[in-house]
Amino acid sequence: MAFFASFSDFWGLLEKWAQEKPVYVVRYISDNLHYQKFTSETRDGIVYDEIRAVEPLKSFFFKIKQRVAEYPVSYSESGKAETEFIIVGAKACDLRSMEILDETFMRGEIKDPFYVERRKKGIIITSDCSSPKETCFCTLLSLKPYPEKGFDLNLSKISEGVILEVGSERGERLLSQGKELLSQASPSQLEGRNKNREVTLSKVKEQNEKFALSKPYRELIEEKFDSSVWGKYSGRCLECAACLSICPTCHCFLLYDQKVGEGFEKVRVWDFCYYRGYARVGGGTNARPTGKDRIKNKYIKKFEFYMSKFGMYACTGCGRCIEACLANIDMRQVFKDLEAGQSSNNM
Amino acid sequence: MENPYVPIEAVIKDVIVENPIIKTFVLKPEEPLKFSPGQFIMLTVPGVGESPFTPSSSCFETERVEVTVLRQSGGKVTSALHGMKPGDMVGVRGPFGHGYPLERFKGNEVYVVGGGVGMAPMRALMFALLHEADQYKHIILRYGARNPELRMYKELCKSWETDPRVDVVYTVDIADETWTHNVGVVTTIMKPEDIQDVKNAFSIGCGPPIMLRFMVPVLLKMGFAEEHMFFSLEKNMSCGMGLCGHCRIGNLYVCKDGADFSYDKIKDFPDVWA
Repeated sequence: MAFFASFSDFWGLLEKWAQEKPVYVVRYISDNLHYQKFTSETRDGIVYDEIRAVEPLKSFFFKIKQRVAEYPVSYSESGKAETEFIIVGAKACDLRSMEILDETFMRGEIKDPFYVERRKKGIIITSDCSSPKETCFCTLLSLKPYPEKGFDLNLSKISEGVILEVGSERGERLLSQGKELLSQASPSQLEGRNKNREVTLSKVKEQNEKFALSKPYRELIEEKFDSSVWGKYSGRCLECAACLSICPTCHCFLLYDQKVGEGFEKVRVWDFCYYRGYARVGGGTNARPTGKDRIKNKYIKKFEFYMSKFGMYACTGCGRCIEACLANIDMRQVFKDLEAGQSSNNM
Repeated sequence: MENPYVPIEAVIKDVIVENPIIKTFVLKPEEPLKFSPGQFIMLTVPGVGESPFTPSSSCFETERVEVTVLRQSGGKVTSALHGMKPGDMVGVRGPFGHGYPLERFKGNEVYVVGGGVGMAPMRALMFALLHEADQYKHIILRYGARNPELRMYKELCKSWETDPRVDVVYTVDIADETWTHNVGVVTTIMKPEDIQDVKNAFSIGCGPPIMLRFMVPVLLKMGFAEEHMFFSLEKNMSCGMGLCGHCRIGNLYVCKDGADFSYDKIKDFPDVWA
């Protein structure tokens, strides 16, 4: 089911929603897109199309830092009901990252109650990508730059407003709050949307033709386990973990304990496998003592482990890691080099 | 939804000094702790941190759980633990992992090899095996320590020497004048004649990574099947639930998929013994 709203009518909807729950929209801060809370100050300049925001969508669901336990008074923050919130303007790659994280945090035997609660309360309104960057490669992961399922609502910007596609009951309920602001999307409007989508899709496909591989990522990793390419890239990698901290699918965390008042708390923070101490154990041995081990490990985790455990790659092709890398390492090129059995000349 | 990060309280009832660097803590958890041998718990020292340990006591005693702890140089949690006294409080989460497949062992020879503080989980396993000793064809224990002083559970080990249900051989790397058993690393007391029906026998090894690494060729030479050679891996388990990522090697989470693995499952990972 698809509806149409003019830009001003869609604002009207946002305002209605924002009276009841926090709404986060995407806006420019200097040259980059970021999520910001929708308020009277941020009602202008909302970006519905363009490209994913800088921060990964997981930040809303798996917080950078979270108190997960207080003791000895057995108290559980997970019991605290979270309020619903709405995210407007996530992209198809962002949505995919949630499916990937869901496997770890809520499909296992033991579920993470904090993630589950935030997922329950987070309403995701996606939008079509219209301005992929050079670094975008979702199509290599068999994704499209527009979402087809898994959203509550999806927005497609066309010249005169937005097309709203309903993806869930929750999305339908949201729209029912402002029926008077909506009309049925016309065939020509839908055609316009589809044309835009085709243009973006072709662009991403085209720019990634040179990165196409002869075999799946997983096979390549298994085959090239001892390749010298790993060592060459580790010589270049600064181990700053920027790629991991901005990755929408990285889920590693560290737990630490601290005293607070009369009691204690357990806190979890994001952690990154590029750090030397990540795999070190009490006795001092380290499963991955060198940078080379750790770089390779990232690829094993994302392209071998995740595929073997969950049947999907832990990568969305969002390109954040490529943009963030201070050493200009492009994951697509790493794979090309692995395939060729050597590193490229531009190192 | 239950919060798996919240530890339950456990009172330290007793502290047994095994040797200058190893102590056994007798814990009374606020609710009975059911576990099977080989499963591990996350032990929290309040405000200091949390580390994984495998109970060394019998799984049939759920209200009195023992944890044997080696004080690691520079180890925040183990150092703090070693400073704790009866009456002090710790936190416990778990158990995690799936423990040893005792049902598969039944009817066969079980070859238990412990080295150093790795004897701690092996003690829990021995208790479980001996609890229904008639279910197993033969229970064999090989235990090595660096020197006689660093051996643990000395009384218990002595009692096993005369226990007809179990065949034990002990060794130390470096002997002193009191030592009457073997001298040499633990692989030197692993002999083909220890086992009659090696194709169906199971081995379980726990000890420092280097010991496990050297056990592999010895076990293979003895004729053990790779699928029957179990090893307890020590990795950086933190959450215990397959969420935090730290203990992963290859396509396994050591916490959730182990912490005990048969050799065929782990042999291809280059970081397995690191």
